[in-house]
Amino acid sequence: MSIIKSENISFRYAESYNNCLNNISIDINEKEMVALAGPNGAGKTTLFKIICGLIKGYAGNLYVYGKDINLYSNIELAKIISYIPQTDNYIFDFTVYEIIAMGRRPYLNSFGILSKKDKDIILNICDFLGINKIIKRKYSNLSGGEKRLVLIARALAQEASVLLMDEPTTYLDLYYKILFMDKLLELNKKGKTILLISHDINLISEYMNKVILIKEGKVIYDGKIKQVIDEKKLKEVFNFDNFIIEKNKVSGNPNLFFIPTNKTGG
Amino acid sequence: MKKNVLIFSLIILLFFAILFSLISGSIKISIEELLNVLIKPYFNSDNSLIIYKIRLPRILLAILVGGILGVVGSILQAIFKNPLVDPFITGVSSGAAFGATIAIIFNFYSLTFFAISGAVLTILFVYKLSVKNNNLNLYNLLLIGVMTGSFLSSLIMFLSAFFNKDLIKVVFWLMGDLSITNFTLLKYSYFFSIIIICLCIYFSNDLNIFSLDEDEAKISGVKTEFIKTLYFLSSGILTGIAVALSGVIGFVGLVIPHIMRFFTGPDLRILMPVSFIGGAVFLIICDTIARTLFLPAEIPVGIITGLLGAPIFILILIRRK
Repeated sequence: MSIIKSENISFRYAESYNNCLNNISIDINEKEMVALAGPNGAGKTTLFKIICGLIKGYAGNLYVYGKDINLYSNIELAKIISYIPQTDNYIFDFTVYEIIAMGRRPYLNSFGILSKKDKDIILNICDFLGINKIIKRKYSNLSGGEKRLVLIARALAQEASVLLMDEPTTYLDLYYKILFMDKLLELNKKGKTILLISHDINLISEYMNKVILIKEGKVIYDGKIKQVIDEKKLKEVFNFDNFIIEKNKVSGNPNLFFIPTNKTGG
Repeated sequence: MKKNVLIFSLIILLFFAILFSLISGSIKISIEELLNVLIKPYFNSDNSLIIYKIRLPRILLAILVGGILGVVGSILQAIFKNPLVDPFITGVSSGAAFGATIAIIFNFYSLTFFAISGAVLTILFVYKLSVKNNNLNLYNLLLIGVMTGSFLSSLIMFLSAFFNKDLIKVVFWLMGDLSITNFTLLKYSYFFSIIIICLCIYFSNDLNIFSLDEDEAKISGVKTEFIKTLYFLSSGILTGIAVALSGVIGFVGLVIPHIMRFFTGPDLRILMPVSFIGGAVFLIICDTIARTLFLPAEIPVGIITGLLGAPIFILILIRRK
């Protein structure tokens, strides 16, 4: 079943002359793991903001569960779509628990008193992510990997069926990167639909089941991993030659290998 | 520190501050005399006049104004995502004072109404100018706030000179002064301020989420436009009330939430009430110092809050780097 469906979405920022997005039509189905990739400035984050309901004033239509996104209230939409930001710039030093509890907002009033049920949900999520030992600590004292897990815990506390993530693995070391993606896979098995922006072609190839390549605000390719992660197609989208695509000997998925300029022979 | 312990200690502190203020002044009143007056209000007419007509109203005024400044400080810091702002630094107090000055010069009926309008307009002005491409620029905010504040203060002096108003009175007004208590105004101010503060506390968890990030708050179900409007209006109205009662008192709104956050963390559900009590205690003490330091003369309380507050502000600023 289609959860998020866009029809010919176009958008231009007020201060810009060019369209940031041009006739974007995508269809995200339930329980899919979809990656959005493409060069910097292609419009990926803008598309995300539109899907989250942060940007209005676009042309075209966007449907969530078949209903126009503008017909949802903030709280209704929060129960369907949650979002994990790329970076955080938090000034105030809340504890981990306080931050995760903020994810319960759609189910509480403005004063935000947690019920027994809310507390159980939060503790279960912390168990699942293995962060129950750090819930009393200040968020600012955590490592980059721990912070990422806390933000995903907050998004999970929202109990939305779709998780949107903007470059979630950018600042993670190898260990946390794999841990994080494994958790996403588990969440996906539990029924979550996952949509993320990533520049890491190999991570996309190993973990996601669909990829959408965007360039200059247009969808260039949209399909299964093995159809889209292809040397010719990637070279076309990224306008860049210094890599090859080869099969990962263990998983059988297409992986990308860089070749430094002085070794390309040209 | 446990929250209950903190609130309890602050209330004890408030009690002692009130006691200290009641017995200090040009006429010293001993604890026994004070108790006498409190138990039998008309037993000793001289002392009871001083306590009931002069010192107690002044303390009630200091509690409300200090409390308001503490609460508004915590709100502005959260909404601007900047722990270095308060009603004074953002120019909002000066906006209120400017509104009040207009009302005084042109003999308009309601000084409070003009002070509130001045405060609300200034906060919107400073906010609009500090936002660029939907992003709030913290440096712009501080600079624009300070500049707007000094501009309006100068304009107040200029207009007062131009219209032949008493400049000494204006200086007292700009430095903050708790010596004149209009009891009717104080009663209404208490009534409306407490309603507004309760409303602010009720929505404070939404402001918590907002204080992390506006977009993230929206995505997790907070009506961000409503929250912004509510807290801008509330802090404007509250600052307007405080300035109409006592002039521009700086640094309370900055320093108090800062110190309190050290004990409570940034959760506004507890920070707001605690900042109210903390602001009240701080202002009672500052005012008692202001009226007893150079007996029999009095100095504006803003001088004392500035003398104590500005160094604390600089300390905070240095420690953050």
